[in-house]
Amino acid sequence: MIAWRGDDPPPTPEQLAAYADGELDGRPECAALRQHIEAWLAHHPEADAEVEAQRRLAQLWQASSPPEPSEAAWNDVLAQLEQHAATRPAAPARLGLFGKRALAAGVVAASAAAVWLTLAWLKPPAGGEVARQGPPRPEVRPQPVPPRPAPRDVEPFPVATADEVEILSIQGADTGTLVVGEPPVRGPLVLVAQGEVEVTRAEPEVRMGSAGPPMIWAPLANERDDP
Amino acid sequence: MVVITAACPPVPSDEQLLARLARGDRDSLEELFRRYRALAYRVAHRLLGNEADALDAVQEGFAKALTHLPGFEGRSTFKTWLLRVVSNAALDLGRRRGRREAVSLDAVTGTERERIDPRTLDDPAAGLERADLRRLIDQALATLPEAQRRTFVLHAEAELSYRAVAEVLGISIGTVMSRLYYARQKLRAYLAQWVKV
Repeated sequence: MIAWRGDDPPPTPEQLAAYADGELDGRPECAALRQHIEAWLAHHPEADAEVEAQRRLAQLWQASSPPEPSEAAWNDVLAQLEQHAATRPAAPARLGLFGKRALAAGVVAASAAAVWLTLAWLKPPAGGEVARQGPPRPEVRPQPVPPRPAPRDVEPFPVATADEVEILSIQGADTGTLVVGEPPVRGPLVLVAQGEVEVTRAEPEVRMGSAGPPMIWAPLANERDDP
Repeated sequence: MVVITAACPPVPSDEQLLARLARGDRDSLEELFRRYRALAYRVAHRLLGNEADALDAVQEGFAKALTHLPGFEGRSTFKTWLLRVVSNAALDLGRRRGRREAVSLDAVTGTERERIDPRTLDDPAAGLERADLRRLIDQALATLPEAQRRTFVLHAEAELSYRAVAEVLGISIGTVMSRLYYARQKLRAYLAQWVKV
């Protein structure tokens, strides 16, 4: 075990939780961190309570596992799935690399043909002068073909809701540009109020950044007595 | 004495079943369903809180997985991919039906207010308490932001490693660690009102 030195930084709560979860076991790249945490725990027995609390929560979780549905309920679901499988239209086969290249080549060839036909139609017939009766036709330039989006291998997630967005950190320069709201915005944009945001951890550079005002300026609980 | 040995057929891998399913083998669908239905159901139940909605989410999730199967390239395991689709389906269903709003904190009964010691939870006679505990934990889960709830359920119920959870959700392992930490803090704070945790 690595000897603990008093000036070593303590593990973060997240690292401690990962240790209790066994996430550091059997991973050579995490061996040093695991030893560091074990050494720290040996000198901080009070932290055992935190690890123990995590284990008790896991125990409660396992004890409350939902009961399985009846076999009849499963059979109903399976029957619906088999019906779905039988009736769904045949999915288009995915294009391999060769297929994608062939498709791209086809698109380019079709576009080139369309441009060539357009230019040929605009070009005066060979073998004689043709007096122009009207104003000159505008020059037609071939438009670039937008690339086709690549097929996706996961179902697209429709729209992110407010709950699905978690701001993990924000740089000082960005604090003035953060907008919080619920799309679609159909009226005046209501900005987030103080009571609607819980500041769990604020880094000094966010609170004291010189590039602009902080996102939220409200005294934290431990600062309320400050002058 | 005559000893009869029967050759046990090898269990097909997920990849083999998926390949057969792509060729139209319906038995493979049933095998895949049997293999993952319980896991998918438990995850959906934790996210939705009741059997009927959880079964609907499992059905919807498997149906979507079938529809999108041609796009599954095997960059992740079928299990993690399926859990992603099923948990998406469960959360979509929860939003559509507003199920979470239906959970009332007043539903906590007097029985639940009695302290439940996890050390006694292995007692088979504690069936009623387990149901109460399940409802309590369901209510505690409902207090979490959706991202934390989903992360915690995938880790705690599906027993996915941090790396696998990160893969399912398309986030970093650091984000998984952060979400799990805050989820546990909130769950413990809520549960501590009624149980020793």
